[in-house]
Amino acid sequence: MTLALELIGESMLGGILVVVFSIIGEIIKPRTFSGLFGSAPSIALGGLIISAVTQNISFLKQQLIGMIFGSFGMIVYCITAYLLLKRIKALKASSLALITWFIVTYLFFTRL
Amino acid sequence: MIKNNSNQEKTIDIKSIKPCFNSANLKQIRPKDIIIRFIFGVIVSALAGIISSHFGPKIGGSFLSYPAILPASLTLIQAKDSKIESRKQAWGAIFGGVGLVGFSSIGSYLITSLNPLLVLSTLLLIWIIISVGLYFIVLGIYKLISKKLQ
Repeated sequence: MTLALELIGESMLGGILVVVFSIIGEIIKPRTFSGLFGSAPSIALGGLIISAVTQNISFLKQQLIGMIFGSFGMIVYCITAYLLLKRIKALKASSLALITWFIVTYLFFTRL
Repeated sequence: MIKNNSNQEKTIDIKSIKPCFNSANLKQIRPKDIIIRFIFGVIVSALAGIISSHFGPKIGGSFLSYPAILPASLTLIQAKDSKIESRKQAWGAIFGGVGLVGFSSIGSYLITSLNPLLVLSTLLLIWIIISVGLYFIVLGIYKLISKKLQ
């Protein structure tokens, strides 16, 4: 029951923060600058806030360490999406680029 | 990226890198776009939470940096504007990604020393400083080089 409540809280907070940062990205110009908010720590803040309230410091630290690996994946994702967008449509490009996030994050986990 | 051919569109805004608010865009945001982004956020957050509980916080933590905003944004921007605008968004998101590395690596050190909620507020500020700072540095250098090449 507690886990379910945590998940609901984390999901709702994550969803709200995604919307907030997306809206900020929509109302800011130029487009290159608003792109920063495409990589905003919205999910991270939602998850970490709930963890800060329900878990211990060691758990939070481990989450942040894992997040480092995912962040490198995010950088490679953005570069891949940028390159793919030259040739294919955004939906395909942004979906295909997700593969690079998984590969890079996995490589960081297994090599470091 | 630098315009060599007058028929090619530039992908980087070198004319103006100074950010500003365009409140008119607020009215153009459709409720459907907000709902799509909210659902994306909920799904990815739930995924991160479930993975943390089953596979441990380190693996779950990696999903805290999963691209939740960008796929929907790039698709919606191409539909509303153009592919060039989507590319600009993706380019800018790289700086945000570097900010995430700073957010998480500094956070993993600070979290054991200070109040977690205070640390998270500080980390958001750190993300802004790194992302925005890098944006101005890189685009400033790009602008200088472009001017010299003209």
